Amino acid sequence: MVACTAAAEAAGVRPGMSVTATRALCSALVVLRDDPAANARALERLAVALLRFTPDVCIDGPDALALEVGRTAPHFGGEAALVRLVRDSCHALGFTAVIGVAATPEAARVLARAALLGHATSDAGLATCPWQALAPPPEVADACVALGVRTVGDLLQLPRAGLATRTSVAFVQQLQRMLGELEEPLPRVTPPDRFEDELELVDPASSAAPLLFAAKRLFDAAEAALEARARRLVSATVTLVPLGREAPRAITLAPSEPTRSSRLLVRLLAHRLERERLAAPIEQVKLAFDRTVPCRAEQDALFEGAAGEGRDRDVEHHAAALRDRLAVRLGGERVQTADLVADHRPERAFRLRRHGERCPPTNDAAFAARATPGPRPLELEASPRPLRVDADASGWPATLHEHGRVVALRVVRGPERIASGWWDGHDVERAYFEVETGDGARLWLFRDLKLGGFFRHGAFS
Amino acid sequence: MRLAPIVESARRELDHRVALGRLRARLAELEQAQHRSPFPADQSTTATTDAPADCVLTGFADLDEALGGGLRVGALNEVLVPTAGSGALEALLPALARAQRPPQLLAWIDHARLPYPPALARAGFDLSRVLLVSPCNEREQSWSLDLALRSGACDVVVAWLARIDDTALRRLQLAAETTGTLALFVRPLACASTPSPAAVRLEVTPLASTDPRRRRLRVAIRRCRGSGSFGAESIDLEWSRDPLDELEVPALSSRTPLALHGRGVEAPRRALRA
Repeated sequence: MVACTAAAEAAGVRPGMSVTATRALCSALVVLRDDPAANARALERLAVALLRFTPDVCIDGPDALALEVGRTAPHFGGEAALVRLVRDSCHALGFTAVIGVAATPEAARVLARAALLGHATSDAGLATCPWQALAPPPEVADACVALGVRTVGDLLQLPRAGLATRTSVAFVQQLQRMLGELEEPLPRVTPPDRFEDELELVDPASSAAPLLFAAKRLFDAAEAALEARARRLVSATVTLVPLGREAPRAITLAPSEPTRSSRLLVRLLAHRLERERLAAPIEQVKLAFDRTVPCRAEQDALFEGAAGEGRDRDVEHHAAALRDRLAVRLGGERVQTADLVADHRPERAFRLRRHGERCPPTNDAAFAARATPGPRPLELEASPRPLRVDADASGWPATLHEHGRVVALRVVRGPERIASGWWDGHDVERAYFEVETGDGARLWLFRDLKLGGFFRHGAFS
Repeated sequence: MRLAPIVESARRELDHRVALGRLRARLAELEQAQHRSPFPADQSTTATTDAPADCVLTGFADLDEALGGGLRVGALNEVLVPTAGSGALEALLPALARAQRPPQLLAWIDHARLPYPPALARAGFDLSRVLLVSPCNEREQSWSLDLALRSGACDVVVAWLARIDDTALRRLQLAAETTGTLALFVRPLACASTPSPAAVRLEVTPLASTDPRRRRLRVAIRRCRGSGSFGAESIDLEWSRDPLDELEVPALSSRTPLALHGRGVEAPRRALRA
């Protein structure tokens, strides 16, 4: 038994006991296997999450983190406020933290361990901490018992040379590090470029609510990691791993604006889960970032008078929310914006950009807008439709045979010649005509100059 | 004494006055939209040409007058068209451009066809503020329309709408009312007999143009909420799409024959084979 919950402890279970012994004490006990590697990963994630409070975070043993906060504490409203923030963020990620703050890492460790031993460290300071808080090796502990000391203060009053012979040199060095007489460099944690995290569900979930709860945990950690790196999320993948042999289900979340808000991401996921049918209960939820961007500084309106800008930003938020909701239900490829492309072929004069796709850095659009030669129809056929058209002597359209009727055509504009694209294999040579049928409807036809036939390419609706 | 020049100059002066009146009205409209008009608009011109708060001028004086100010903002506007290529949308695009104030979006929601973006750009729309949505079926389209009308992010929502049930339309009308969005639905003529909560319902018949550089169509007002006109009032609209078209150019009298090189090359070959 390595660790137990408060409820188990109340039932008499203590770390160090064997599993059979604890089962005897408490029959309802749920035993989970200890996984040191997973613990180390969890600690690393916590370290990355705490990078938002200071750039100097160090993994300190299997169950501790050391944060250098001397320089950053004033930004968070002082040490006490910072401790509260750190404790809250640990709690939000599912950890319970015992925190000690001191001038040296070793002293902080001692204070934290003392707190863990149930010693109130509020103002009494280091000297009153029990010597056990130094976590000495067994032989040193025996020596301490033999010396009759009770607190760290008692140990410090003993002559150092004598203490070294009675205990060990390493122990005295530990005390010196605690007092700051010896330097103690700590390796920094560097935030990883990618973010990948997973959460095992103790109870495999078959409905959305527990999945969203688990996802919230992951997104909270992600939010902290993004904040630590001063980046925002462009797209992320949530993978649901079901029980048994079913294939994992990957869900891509792409908010229309880069974000790090876990609330927004959870809401997006909730929308997606509404439409998912889960084949089997989910036992694991994974989260990975696909793309992040550095965040730009957000600026508030400088003057009260710039209310117009505030309204614009509201509109932007509404627009982003509308796009997101449409894309979530209909699919990103069905929610588009268009860009102009400098190409004379009408079907290639624009490019549809799907939801979430970034605008390509190009000045094509401005050029294309100037380059459009004549009026264009509001409706364009997906692909040119062959028509039965009789041409007159000069090759212009004269009559149209459609649905068994013969319609006289009147050319109102044209021919507009478009010959282009020999370089990309989609070369066209066309003469475009705007024609009016007898009842006043206007169509856009072209004659293919290579094949000779007429095609309908659009309608001036 | 020849009358023609006098009549001509009088007509020109009248045109100027009308144009000036419209410009003033437009200016007043813009200033009212900003809620800080420095001076009151000229009453004599606004009385006839300025649009009420819930209207958008179509730009056709006769139609605007008959509709009591133009298309309705915060309501459904239906246009019934007999065929593709009727010109109804082309005639109303300037009104849509007027209704959209740029950070707001124009959403075009249709499951069958979407507008041709270069044509929209040419009509003066900022394509980055145009959202093209293509739902996969009519049910999804109705849902998307409702969402877009409720979002408050769109000034204008356009759709080609064939079949939709009455309750769904009513819901859309309510959504448009709450956010003050202009909804323009282009529907086939067959829908004329179905009930609709639309505030404005126009039936469009294209007309053969007398001048190839100008387009013509006839609008019959089937319904217009809040205006005195009832029944089928018909108005003929005529416009030119391109200012360049108004310049005097040689008429399309001499037709240059099209050179079809495919044919041109093939014919002698066939002769050779024979």
